Amino acid sequence: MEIFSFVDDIKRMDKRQAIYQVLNFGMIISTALMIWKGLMVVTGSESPIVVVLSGSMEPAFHRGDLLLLTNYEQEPIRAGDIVVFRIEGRDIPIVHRVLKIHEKDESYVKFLTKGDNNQVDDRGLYSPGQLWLEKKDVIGRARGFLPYIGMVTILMNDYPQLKYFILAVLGFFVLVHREN
Amino acid sequence: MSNIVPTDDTSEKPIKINKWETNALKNALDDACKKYFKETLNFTEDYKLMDGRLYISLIACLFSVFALIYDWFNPFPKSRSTLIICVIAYFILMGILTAYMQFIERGRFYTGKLVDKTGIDPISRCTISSKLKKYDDKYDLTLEYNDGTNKATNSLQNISKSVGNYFDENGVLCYDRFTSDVKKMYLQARMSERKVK
Repeated sequence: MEIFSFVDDIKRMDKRQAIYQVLNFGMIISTALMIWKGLMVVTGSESPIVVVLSGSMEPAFHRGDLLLLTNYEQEPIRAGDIVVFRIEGRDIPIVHRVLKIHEKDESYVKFLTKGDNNQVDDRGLYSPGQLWLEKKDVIGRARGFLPYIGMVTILMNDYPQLKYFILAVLGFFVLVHREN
Repeated sequence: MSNIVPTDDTSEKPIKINKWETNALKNALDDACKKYFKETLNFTEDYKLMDGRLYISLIACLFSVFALIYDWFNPFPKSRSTLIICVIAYFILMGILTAYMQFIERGRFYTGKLVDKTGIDPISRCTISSKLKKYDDKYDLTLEYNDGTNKATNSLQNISKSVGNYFDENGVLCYDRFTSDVKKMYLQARMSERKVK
């Protein structure tokens, strides 16, 4: 069958060619990884690109939008900024707008957030006993956005088998295809 | 049509590829050429060029693995300087690899040397490179031959023919037709090397 012609291709590869195929695969993954780490360094945020998961920021952001974040020390957070933060003990970050700020001598800030589409502020979402967020909870501020693209990530997270399947197929094709 | 040579089956089965895929064509012809030099002319392959490429890729991958592990153990803000170094090093290595493949390798896929068993004749070296443009059918094979006696002179021989000469309608490689052309080119190279002296 013609589809399996690559099987002969593999058999014809000598040892060095096979090593190069594996390294090629490694380089593709490394390039993606290095671009991600590079973005982390440039924006100063530990997760420079996030996907909006809920509709709590409509009509500004919808579920499935991609956000670009920055987290520069020199730019203080002000009321009205859209921040992405993580609550201690939970790993899913939240995208909401800053409502109120209390600031003391530039180093200590605490702020309250609320989703545009929510009726009440986020105190119900914070940890029990927590009334304010601090700088250390913030992953970054939203600087740019791409609509709809994040839907792919949402799909992959809802159906993890789909994610593994696609990755396996892609990986397989990269390993087998000789380009020289 | 079938060869009666009793070697292992995969190496004697005629190579069949997708005749419309340029890459597969070039790879099949390159492999056949290497096979001819290795088995029929008894050249031993010199892996320096390929090893260079492998080492550069390996070092690049090691940098990225190191960045990954370091960042895993020291979460982001602490690992910033290490990450910067690793990312910059990685992209510099990528640049080096591209430059290496573009300027140093230049399509050379085989370097071999012929060591005479009796030890009388000096070692002769062959470097073969090939070019097949993306949607073109002209396969250009260049052989650089150096008779061990005079290291400075190299004789270059070249075949430039349509791939249609070597593959039949089903994409099967006609090994014998191809190797007869390669053999002619090789003998020409040896003769012209001797004439120059």
